[in-house]
Amino acid sequence: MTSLNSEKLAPITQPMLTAYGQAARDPNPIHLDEKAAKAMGLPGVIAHGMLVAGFLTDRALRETGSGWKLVSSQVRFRGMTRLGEVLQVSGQKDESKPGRVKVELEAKGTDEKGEVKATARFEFEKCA
Amino acid sequence: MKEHVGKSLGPYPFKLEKAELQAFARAVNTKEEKYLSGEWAFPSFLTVFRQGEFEWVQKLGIKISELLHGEQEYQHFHDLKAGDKVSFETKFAHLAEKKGGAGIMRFFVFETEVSVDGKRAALARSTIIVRSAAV
Repeated sequence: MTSLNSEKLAPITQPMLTAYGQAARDPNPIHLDEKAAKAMGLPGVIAHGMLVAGFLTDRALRETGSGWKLVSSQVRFRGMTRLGEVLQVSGQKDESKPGRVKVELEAKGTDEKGEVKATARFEFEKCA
Repeated sequence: MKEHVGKSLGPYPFKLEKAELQAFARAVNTKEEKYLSGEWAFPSFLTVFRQGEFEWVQKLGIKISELLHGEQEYQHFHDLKAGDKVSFETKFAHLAEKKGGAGIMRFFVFETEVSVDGKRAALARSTIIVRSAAV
């Protein structure tokens, strides 16, 4: 297991969520509209879990590079990410099995609570 | 609702357009040219096939705004690229209920098979949580 450098992401903004929602064809208004989010008992607009998953996927791809093929991804959403929040990604890489790499990542809030927002596991195989 | 478990909706056709792949790559802020060029689909672009899941949710009488995403898994068999004619089918795989202080929480699991020219490209398994006791 190798520890990976911890990396801060850009703050979550409404334009980011709007662009992602369109690109991902996600119609859920809790990511777009404060009123809709509050009507569901949420504190306000929250980020798409899959947007955070996208950031984690990108990080995993960067940790392996072009000689490796992603074969499986698993992301668990554990906390809600609100507008303005800055997430920090950390994790580890397991290269103990030949021809395989496993990358495990965690996205956490950087406020005083430091809540875990998502954990993910990515498995890669060496390209033939 | 339980009577629908095990059933599938689809197959639905979906053509992968370069502009859409580009927009997705930009939205997840990747720097990889392979994806930014719109030639290849970023791995989590598979999320667009949650459309099948959203069809299910509406059929089951649940409002989209009631959903929270709990978990997402993918098995990637081969990469999707611009121009691919995709077909996807979504199975309502599992339903579980938990009673808590705030009412009933329902956990729905949907499995989506994504194929290109009859060849399986990916399998997606999504768990969503519906907190309202309205259903």
